Amino acid sequence: MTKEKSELLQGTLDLLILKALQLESMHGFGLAQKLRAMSKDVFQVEMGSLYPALCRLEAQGWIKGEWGISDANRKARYYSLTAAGRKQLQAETAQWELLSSTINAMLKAT
Amino acid sequence: MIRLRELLFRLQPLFRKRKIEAGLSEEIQAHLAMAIEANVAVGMSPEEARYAALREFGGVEQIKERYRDERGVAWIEHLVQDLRYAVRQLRKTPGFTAVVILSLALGIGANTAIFSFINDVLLRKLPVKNPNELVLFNWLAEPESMRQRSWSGRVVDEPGTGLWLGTTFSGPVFEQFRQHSPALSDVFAFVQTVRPVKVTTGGQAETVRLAQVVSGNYHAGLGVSAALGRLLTPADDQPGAAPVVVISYGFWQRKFGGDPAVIGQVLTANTVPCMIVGVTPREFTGTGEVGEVPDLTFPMVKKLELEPFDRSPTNTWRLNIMGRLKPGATAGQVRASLEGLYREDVRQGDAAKMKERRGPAIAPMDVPQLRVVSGARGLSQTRKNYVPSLQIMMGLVALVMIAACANVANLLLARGAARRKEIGIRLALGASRGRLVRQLLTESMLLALLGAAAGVGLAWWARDGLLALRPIGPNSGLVFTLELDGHVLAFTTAVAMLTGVAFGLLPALRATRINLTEEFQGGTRNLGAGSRPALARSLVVLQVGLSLVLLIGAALYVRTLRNLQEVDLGFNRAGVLLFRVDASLASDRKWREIVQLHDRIVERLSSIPGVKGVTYSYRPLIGVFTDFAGSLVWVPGYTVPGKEEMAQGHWIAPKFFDVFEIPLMLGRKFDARDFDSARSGSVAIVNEAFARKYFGEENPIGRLFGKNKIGAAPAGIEIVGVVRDTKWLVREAPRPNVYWPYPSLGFPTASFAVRASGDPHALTSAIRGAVREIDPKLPLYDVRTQDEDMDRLFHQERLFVALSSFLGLLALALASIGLYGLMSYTVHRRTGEIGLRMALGARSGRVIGMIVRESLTLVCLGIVLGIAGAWAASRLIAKMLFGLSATDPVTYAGVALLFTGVALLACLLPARRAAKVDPMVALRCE
Repeated sequence: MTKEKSELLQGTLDLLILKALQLESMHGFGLAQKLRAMSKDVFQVEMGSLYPALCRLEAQGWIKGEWGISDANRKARYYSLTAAGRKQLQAETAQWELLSSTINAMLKAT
Repeated sequence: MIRLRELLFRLQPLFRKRKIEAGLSEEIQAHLAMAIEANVAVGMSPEEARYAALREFGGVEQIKERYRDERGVAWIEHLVQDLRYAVRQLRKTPGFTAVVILSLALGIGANTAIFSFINDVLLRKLPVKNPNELVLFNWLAEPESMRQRSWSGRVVDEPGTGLWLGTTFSGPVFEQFRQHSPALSDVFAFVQTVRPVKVTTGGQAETVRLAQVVSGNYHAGLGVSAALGRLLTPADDQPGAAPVVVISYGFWQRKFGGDPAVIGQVLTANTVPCMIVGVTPREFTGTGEVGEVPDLTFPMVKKLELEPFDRSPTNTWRLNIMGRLKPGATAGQVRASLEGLYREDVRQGDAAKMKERRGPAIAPMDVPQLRVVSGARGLSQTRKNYVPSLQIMMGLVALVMIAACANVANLLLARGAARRKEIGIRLALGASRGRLVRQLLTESMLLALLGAAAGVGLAWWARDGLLALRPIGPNSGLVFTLELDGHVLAFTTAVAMLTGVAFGLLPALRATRINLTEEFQGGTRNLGAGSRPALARSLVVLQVGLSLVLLIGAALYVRTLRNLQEVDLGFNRAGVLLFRVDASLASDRKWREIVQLHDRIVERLSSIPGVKGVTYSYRPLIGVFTDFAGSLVWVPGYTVPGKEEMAQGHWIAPKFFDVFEIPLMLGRKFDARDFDSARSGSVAIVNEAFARKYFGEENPIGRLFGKNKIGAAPAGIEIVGVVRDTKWLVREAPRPNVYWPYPSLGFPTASFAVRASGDPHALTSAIRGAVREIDPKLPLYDVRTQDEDMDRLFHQERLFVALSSFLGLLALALASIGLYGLMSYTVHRRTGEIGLRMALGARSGRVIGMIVRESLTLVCLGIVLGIAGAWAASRLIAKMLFGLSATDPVTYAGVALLFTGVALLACLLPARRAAKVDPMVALRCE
């Protein structure tokens, strides 16, 4: 693991996956690349975290996995956001904004 | 909170494991393929691209494992996995598994059996419709006042009040309750017959000890339905109704072999032919005291016809009354509505009684209180009598359970040591310690549950043995179900779970505490005895201590029983055959004819070869069937200090003292004149205790006494003789006895005693035959020798002897196995050390000595622990002992010695194995 790459804050991976899936459904590899691109290569997404997270989100009913065919004509499992997942994304985004703005404010206060 | 949808999703892996695994693999393969393509696209060689993709992806198997954790309900999956693994492990070591399951089965089985007893005696409710709605009526009265009333039934002391608590009420009170209780939907009554009932079916006569008469609404009120035919109805209880009887399931099986054609058959009870109309269900054992199951139930209206000799008036208090609460009603409401009525009735009865009685007025009597209690368990006055002995039994089996757990824990420890390599490898491969502990605990739980299953089987199988010990009472009529119902199974499961954790946790924690580096470096077997298995050793000490406590208890009970059996009763108990006849059951003889019948029996039996003497009395001298029938004694010029005590009265036929071999100390025995009706109330023979109490050192012969100070009866009874003391309560000093001549207008029943010159049993059939010759319809019952009778008197002591000996030996065996196992293990571990010692010149004798010394240290520690424990527990059983103290040093020392001997044997084998260690072989192993 390279030094400049930072690990994800615990618990934020779920939110980021939901965010990444907001516009289009994606397979695991695509998702990993998209997450890296979104973070401008700062975050390293461990595969050992990604797949269990996908499973967790699917169990909660926020995303849905379906087998499909990729652009390269390969069988892959595509994940998409469900209605409940959209709601969850909104709620978590709001929560994150509150949290981060508060922490930012607190850090600047000194 | 886990939602249903999520739960369903997570449970899928349990059933569709393969499909999901395949899906995951495919998904990962697709991911890798895409990653490789992407890498190739940026210019890597295929080799490089593949390598980079794999490196970036990380450990495929680890990801799969984490995915699985996430995907399923982890603990259920693990449980299933662990169970599978545990089953495999246990099957791999069948010997170990069998020993563990056997240990646990014995422990859990003993606990289950004893608990099913407690359940029967204390917990189980009547198997009827809504038993919680049933109420039972009690009275609470001053004992003094009850002496003046006519009543029958059991009373118990109400603790702390000095009052008596009884359950019997008069017929008129029952009618009042029936009419004036708006809170009750049903009020019904029941009472046992005064005497056993002679039953004749198809020409065969037998005696049924327990029968009852009940009001016609008894069965309907209880909500019992018939197993066969119909039960009693109010119509059966009307004057003039055809006589009917309902029989118990047990009686139906015993007497009729469960033949359904029994309905409609005629059964002659005493002299009344009754039609059998129905059979009660198997689980319904009546509303009587625990274990008292009436075999025959008659409508109350037939009581006088059935027992014409019982002429007690209807206002005698003798009916047990129960009721069923209407929905929403409470026992308090019932009491409020009835207590006034009841007390008024008692007051009137007392006033009438006082008017009847001539002589000095007696103090106004206290009027009893009425109490309404739960009837969910039927009559239950005697239940609490059993609590202390049940507690001790439960304590005994709990000790055995702990010993069994210690044993199993020790086995598991040894096994944990044997599995160090396996566990080490699993830890090295990344299994967490918690996960491994959980897995080992699953294994011990599985063992515990298997043990429990076997234990329940064992308890079921041991049931008959337990019942044969007559745990609750000596009378043959007592019936127990010992059902393994929900209570019992819940108890057993709880015990199993608890033991699973108890014996599994420590070994599991111990087994998983491994220093991996050391483990795989290989040189872990050190030569010194440095790492001693302290836990295993303390477990052995605990086992020795526990089994010592049990064995000391057993020894104390054994010696108590022997002391009781050897107590001098004041007469020669060997070689006496006893039986009873009840002439009133055979025909309607005049009472004078009954005495003639008794005398004819004496004459006829005396002519049988091998019979040295025959006599009879109203009640047996001592034994199971002897109750106290005291009369107040009044000696002019003597005031009794403290409370007035009654003397036990015996009505005896000629030759009584000869047959029982009770020596005459002073005066003379009864002669023919004394048995004349004219004189039979005016002479008496007393025992030494009587003479000592009332006359001190003076000669009592020729002195006069009276039966009752109350009234004007003069002190007109002359003492003609003094005999040696005899006991009627084995554990107590002899009490004052008065012997009266058996009156010529006597009693319908008699207890006969035959002194045999040889084995009294040999006379049984000759005696039966002789009595049948005199009157074929006269049933002989309770035929037994005096020795057998005494033995039955000691049923509780015998039960404890049997139980504690069995459990004590069991614990001893477990402790010996534990010690043997530990020492074998130690010898095995120390093979190197021992080899070195021997190479350096130690002789085999010294090696044996070393191992034996080590074992004896443990045993001595255990003995100290056990003696301390027994000492602490001695208080609990002190009351049950006789003729020795609960801390009797001889017993303690004897048991400790026995134990040391057994322990020596248990460690000798491993010690000899140690002595045979070949130094070369041992050292080469290192």
